[in-house]
Parts: sequence; C-alpha cells; structure tokens
Amino acid sequence: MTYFDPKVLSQLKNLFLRARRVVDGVMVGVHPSRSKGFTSEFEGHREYSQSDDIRHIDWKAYGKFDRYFIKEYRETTNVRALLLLDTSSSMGYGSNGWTKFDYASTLTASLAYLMLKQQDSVGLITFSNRIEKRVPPKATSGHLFAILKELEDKKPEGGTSAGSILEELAGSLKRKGLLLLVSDLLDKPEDVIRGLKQLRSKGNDILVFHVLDRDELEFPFKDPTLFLDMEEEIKLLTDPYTIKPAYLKAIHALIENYREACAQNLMDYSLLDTSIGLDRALVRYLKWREKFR
Amino acid sequence: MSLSFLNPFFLFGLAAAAIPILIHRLTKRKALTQKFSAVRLLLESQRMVTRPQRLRHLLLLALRIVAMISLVLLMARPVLTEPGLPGQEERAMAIILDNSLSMAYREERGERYELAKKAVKEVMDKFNGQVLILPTASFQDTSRSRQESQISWMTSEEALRALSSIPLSYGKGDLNACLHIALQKLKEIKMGKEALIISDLARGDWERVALSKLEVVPAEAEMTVLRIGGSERDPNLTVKEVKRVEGETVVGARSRLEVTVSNLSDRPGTTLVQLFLSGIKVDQKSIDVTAMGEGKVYFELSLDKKDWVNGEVRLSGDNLSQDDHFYFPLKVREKIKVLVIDGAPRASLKESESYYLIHALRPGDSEESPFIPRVISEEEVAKTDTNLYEVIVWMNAPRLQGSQLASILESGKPVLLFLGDQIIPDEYNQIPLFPWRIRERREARIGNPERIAHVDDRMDFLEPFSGPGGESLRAASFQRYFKVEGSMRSLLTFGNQDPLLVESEVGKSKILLFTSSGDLDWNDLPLKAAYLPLIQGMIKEAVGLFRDSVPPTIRFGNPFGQKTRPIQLAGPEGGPGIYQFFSLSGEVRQGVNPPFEESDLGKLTKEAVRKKFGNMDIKIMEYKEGVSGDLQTNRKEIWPFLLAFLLMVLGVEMVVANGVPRGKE
Repeated sequence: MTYFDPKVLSQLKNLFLRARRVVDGVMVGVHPSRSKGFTSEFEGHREYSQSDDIRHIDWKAYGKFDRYFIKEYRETTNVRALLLLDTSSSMGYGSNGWTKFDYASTLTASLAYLMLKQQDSVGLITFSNRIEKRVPPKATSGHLFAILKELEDKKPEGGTSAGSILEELAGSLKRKGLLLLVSDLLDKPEDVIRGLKQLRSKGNDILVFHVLDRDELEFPFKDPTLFLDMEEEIKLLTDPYTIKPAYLKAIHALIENYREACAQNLMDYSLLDTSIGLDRALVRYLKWREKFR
Repeated sequence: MSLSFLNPFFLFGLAAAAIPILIHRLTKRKALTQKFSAVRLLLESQRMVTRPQRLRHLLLLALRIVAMISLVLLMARPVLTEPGLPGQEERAMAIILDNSLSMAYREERGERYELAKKAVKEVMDKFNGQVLILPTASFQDTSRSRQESQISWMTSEEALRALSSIPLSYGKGDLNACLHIALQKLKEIKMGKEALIISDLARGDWERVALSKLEVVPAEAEMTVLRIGGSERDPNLTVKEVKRVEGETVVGARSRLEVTVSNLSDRPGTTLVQLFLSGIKVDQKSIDVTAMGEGKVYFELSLDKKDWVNGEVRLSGDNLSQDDHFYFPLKVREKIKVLVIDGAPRASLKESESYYLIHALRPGDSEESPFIPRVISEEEVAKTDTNLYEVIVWMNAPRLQGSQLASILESGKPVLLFLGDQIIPDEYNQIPLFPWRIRERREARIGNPERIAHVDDRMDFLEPFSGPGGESLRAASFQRYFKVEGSMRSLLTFGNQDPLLVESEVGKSKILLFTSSGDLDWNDLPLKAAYLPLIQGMIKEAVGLFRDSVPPTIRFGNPFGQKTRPIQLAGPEGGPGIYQFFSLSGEVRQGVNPPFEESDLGKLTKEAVRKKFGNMDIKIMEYKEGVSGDLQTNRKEIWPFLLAFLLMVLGVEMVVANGVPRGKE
C-alpha cells in the first residue's frame, strides 16, 4: 500500500518518481512480465509473396519446412488519450498538506506514464475557467517528460468553468479518443454534464475522476467559521454545526448527480477521496483499457 | 379594572429580561477563518437552513425573554383591581378589632395585635369613607347604651389616630356586644356599608358569638373576617389555679401550695414553674404536661412573719407570655390561740374533758401546729383575759356566764360549746344570746348507737368528710347527746335527724355547738381518725382561716368583691396582679389573673365561623401584608394564570430548543 499512500507520495517531490512508483506498484499486481507489451498478438503463418517484407519471414519455419512463411499478427488499436486536468483554485484545497491538485497531478502523471508504457498516445489539457495549456497526444517515450513538465510548472489558480471548457473541447477535437477528466467538478453540474454529453456524442470514451478532499466529503468543522471561497470573492460566516446536515446533503446530491449522469451516458465515474490511494484510479483505467481492447 | 402589584419592588427585576440577550451575545463563539473550496455549496445549504434557524433562534430568544418577564411579574404579584366602587367616599366601615389577650400571641411576624393594627392601617390607607373602630375588649363592664352613645363615626385619619390609643387588653373580648353596636350603627347609615372583624378566631372569644344573641337584625352590610395568624391551634401553657392543699398560712407552720399547669397544645410540653413570694424567687420545679392535659406542681411553704404576702407563679416563657404569670395573695397570720374552759377537770389529764381536744389541736405537742391551746377551769375564767384568745371553747361546763359570753361574741370571737354530763340545760337556755334550746338528753339503745348520717359539705372544713373520706366520721358511735332545737344550721346530723353539730351567727361572731361530749364519755369519736381534722377544721372555720389564708383570685374583667377603690401592688399596670383594698374589717388583697379562656388558642374553622353567622354572606380571609387591599377593591390575584403562562412558555422553549436535530457530534 505504500506505493499509493498519498502521505508517502507527497514526500516525493519529483512527479516522475511519483508516477513511476504508482504505476510500478499497480503493474506488479497486474503483469508479471512487463517486457511483453500489448501492441500485437500472433495470429498464424502464410506463404511468402514477393511484395512481402523479408523482415517478416519466419526463419524457423523455413528451417523446418524449407519454404518461406510469413508470420501474421493481429493488429491492436493504440489508444489516443487526452488527460483533462482541472487546475482551478479550488483544486488547491487540501487537508493534511496534500491538496486535491497534488493528488490530481500525481494521478494524471501516473496515467500518462502508464499509457505511454502501453504505447498509447497521451495528451494533456490543463484548464481552469479557460484552457490553460495543451500538450498534443503522442506515444513517444520522451513525451512523458513534456507532460510532466507541464504538470510540475502548474499551480492551481483561477476560477472553474469545466462545463464550458468541455463544450469547447467537444467542438474542437478532431479525432475521437479517450478523455480522462480529473477535476473536483465544483461547477454547475448541469453545465459539466452537458459538456461531457457533447464529448460523448462525438464518440469519445470518457473516464471521470472526481477528486474531493475528505473535508469536502465530511465537513468536520465545528466552531463558527468565516468561510472564504478559493475562487470567488464569496464569504460566508456560519455555524458549521447547524449547516452541516444541509451541506452533506448537498454534496452527496452533487456526487449522485454526476454518478447518475455518467452511468446514463456510458461514462466511467470514480469518486476519489484524496486521503485514499491512487491505485484505485489506475485500476479503474486498466479495467477500462481491458474492455477497450 | 387596573393592574397593580403587591410587591412592586420586584419590578426592578424586569432588567433581568436582558439576561437572555446578554447570554446570547456572550456565549457567541469567535469565528475562525477558513478557506474552503465548496463555499458555493455552503451558500446553497445556508439558504435552506438559515431562515428556519434564525427564526428558531429569534423564537427561543423571545421565549426566554418572555419567561424572565413572567417570572419577575410573578414575584411582583400582579393583581387586577376594580377600584372606585360607585361613590366609594359614601361608604362606611365598622372595624371590630379583637384586642383580647389571645391577640398578644407572638408569632414570627410579630405580635398578633400589632399585625391587626397594621391591617387596620392598610385598610385605612385605601379607604375614604366613614369609619368606626370597636375594640372587643372594651365592651364588657360598661352598659351597652352608654357605649353606643360614646361611639361616633370618624374619618380614616381620625380612626388611625384613635387606633394608636387602643391598647391590648389582658382580658377577653365581647364580640357579640361589638357586633351589636357595629350593626346598629351601620343600620343607621344610608350608604354602602361594611363590617370588618379583625381577629385571631381563638375559641375563647368566638365560642360565645351567636347571631341569636344580637338584638339587631343584621344590616345589609358586607361582612369580612380577617384572620390574624394561622388556622391551627397555637401551643400554649398557662397556670390554671394555685391553691393551698395542706397546712395553714400561719407563722411557723408548714403548708403546701398546689399549682395546676394547663397545656392547651396539641403536643406535650415542658415548662419551668417558678414560685415568687413578695418578688423573691423561693422555689422552682420543672413539669411535663401531656397534650391538652394538666399537671400539678407542689411547693412547700414555711412562713415566718405575719403579714400579707404577694405570691406569683411564673412559667418559663412561651409565645403568649401574658398568661404565664399567676398572681395570688397569701395572708400569713399568727398561731391561733385557743382558750379551752374545761368543765370537768380531773387530776389525770387523760380523764379530763379537754384531753382529746388539746391533743387534736396540738398533736404530739408539735411546734408546727397552727394552734396554741390553753386549758383553764371554770373558776379561772374570771381571771383570764379572753381578749388574748381568738377562739373560746367551753367543754362540759355546767353553766355559762351570760355577760361573759356576750362580751366574747361582741368582740367577734367565735365560741365552741361541747356538751356533756355536767351541763345544766336550763342554765344555757336562759342566756338571752344563746340561740338554741337544749332539750332532753338522748340515749341510744345499747348496741344501737347513733351515727352521723349527714355532713353539710358546703362548709370548707367538712368538705373532706363528704365522700369516702368521711367513713371514719360516720363510723363513730354516739351513746348520748342532747336534743337541741332552735334557729340553726345543722352541720352534722344523726340518722334520726337530730343535730350533732350546729352553727349559728350571733352578731358579727358565731357559736358552734357540739351536742355530745368532746371526750370519750358519750361517744368514741375522739378515737376515730376523723376527730383531729374535724376539731381543727371547726376552729379554722370559726376563725375564718379557710377564707382568709389564700383568698380566691378573680379573672381579669370580672368585678372585684370589694367596693372600695383598689390599689395595685403587683403585676403590669392596669392588668393582672395583686390588688389591695381597705375596708372596715381591715386590709384585703385579691389576685387578678388573665381569663383562662384566653389561653386556649384553638381556632374556629372557617366553616364554624360561617355557621355562627347563619345566612349572612361573610368573607373570611387570612391576613398577609397587603391583603387588606382586597377589602375595598374587588381584587383578583393573577399569579396562577401567570404561573400557568410561564410553565407554558418554558414548555414551548424546551420543545423549540430540543426539537430541531443538532446533528451528530
């Protein structure tokens, strides 16, 4: 479990190391031999013809049969994945010194690392109330560092407008692929869901990683508190004691709203509490990847 | 209808209404500052929750303020009054003020009579009409018509001045007389009328109240009884009686006083009984007395000086101290000198006629005997100064000297005559002052002697022989006696109606005649136990010792037996004590003590009081400070409603405070 423990991971400053640690941890459990890869699968032999590349001649079969045979493989589809990371100010909230953004960027890096390892092409879009940065999808191993650099340079700031960003992407993405949205989704849920629906309607597969802090899920405050919003100039002086029931009801309604909308539109939804391990998210992805093949 | 407060001072407590607000402000915790990502969600939640929460808080605050105000008002005792009965200034009120002794009872709030006067003042403060004040203990001795003529209507200010001059009495009151006058006076008035009786409802005065005894038909007056003190019997011990039970109040003689202490309480009581003679404490004894019972304490007296002694018995104090003193005078006299003229003296004393009588007067020749007898023969009479003796006794003397007898009787000295075989009846009968005629000598048949059958127990000295104590006397057998006739009072009578002992007043003196012998010649009475007390009793009766030694006391308010003006020697001025009179017969003293009925502090119940007034509509109230305001105004206390309201408010507060879930800690 130490692979995924956020407290342990938070001590690793280098995002690559974090990602590798996470992914290695997951893969230890999933694949005993990492060298095999997933890119092709042997299907059978056929006789050599002149147009065939001699590199594909099976010399072992020639030695046995004295004839030229070509090895044929079933071609596997490479995933074109786009990681959508919310970098708004609200992602900067975290209890115990581990923000949602730390969690989300680690997750994003881990996913990128994992995908590139599987020779999928991976891109990154960071956004707040606008698209902050685009890293186009590529499958080269050096691409990982481009993504990691973006992630390491990024700090949570700005408002959230996930709904409009998703709508914008739905209109701008030329090729369909896999979209992995990592966000706290503290936006108007109807806007977010509308954007997700539009992306889905374009044939994209969507995985939603809903990252929330434990404070946001349990609201443990007791004393009268002046709450300052992290994105807007909103202040609220209230007695958490009295407001807690209503808040918990509201946050759970929000989660259920997302969960139902995703289920209805064949999107994968995961609620991630930043206090629990990252492996859950990766396993979730791998399961999806298995289906995708 | 207006609202007023019996304890308006408590209204300052209304400032306490600010307490809930202060608590609300002071207990508000200081807010922390916290950056949070989902404030928008919090805002939405706040909108859902805040309004009802704020309403709830405001409601709680309001309820708590209302509860505080209700509590303060409750303590201030608000009353709804209906002032200004039409023409209040046209009203008249007769106040019957119980100033009898029982009102001297001291309770926690003070003396009841002072409370009663305070109640009158409270009534007067709010009354504008005409007033009569009738103290119950002033209407006993003087005639009713005179009392009525002296009473006049006053303004409330005049009534208050008059009130200060009405003292507490040491006697009992006459409620009937007061009611009669009050109702008579009210009947003459043509305006709204009220009668107010302020009393402790003690049985002493109230038992005698009866409408039937009132000569005036009750006027259409509003009748109110304001009770001072509680409805339960108040504990009280008092001296009921002091009497001499043994011996005589004679110099050098021993005597015994019996003090009867009465416990008029529902529970047993202990008290210290102290005896004072001429202001000096001579003895004290403690006594336990059962509830509603009596106890007796005895004091031995030995007096060494001839004079009047002012006696006083005091009980250790209780709440009615005025009846803890009992005054009684004692008349101490010299020993009674008795001259015995023996008509049949013998050489042997035992055979002398006077032998048994002398031993009866001075048994064992005791120095403590109240008598100093001297025996002489008939021959010595002429040479003896009879003025030195208080009683002259002739025993079996053949004849009496008429002139000698006359001078003795004239000087007021009593004479006792014993008959016998020596006497010559005609010698007696021919004396003009001799009130009887001695007839023949009667002899009883052998074996069938005459015996005493009747004892006149109205005489003090014969009273002990009237019952079983007289067996010894009735056992005496008489063989011979003289038949006596004439105007007389028979004190002892035989079964055949012949008198044995007769008495007759002669001038300011008296003669007692014993128709048989004073020795064993004709009867065996000298051998009987009754002989000694009979002989001593006869002498004491003759000299008036029973009457004078402890004169009967009277109760305060009762008339003195003497006509002359009394001088008070002991006791509170004008109250119980010892009074001195001078008359032709000399000095007389009399003890005056509080009426025993006034010591009974049992109370009449409200029902019993209503019963006394028959069909009259009567309002009975207990006096508390401020309650007198009810008398003029139709006042209604509203604290029960206020209390119910307060409880309701607290109930609602509890529901509101606990009804809303507070979330899980």
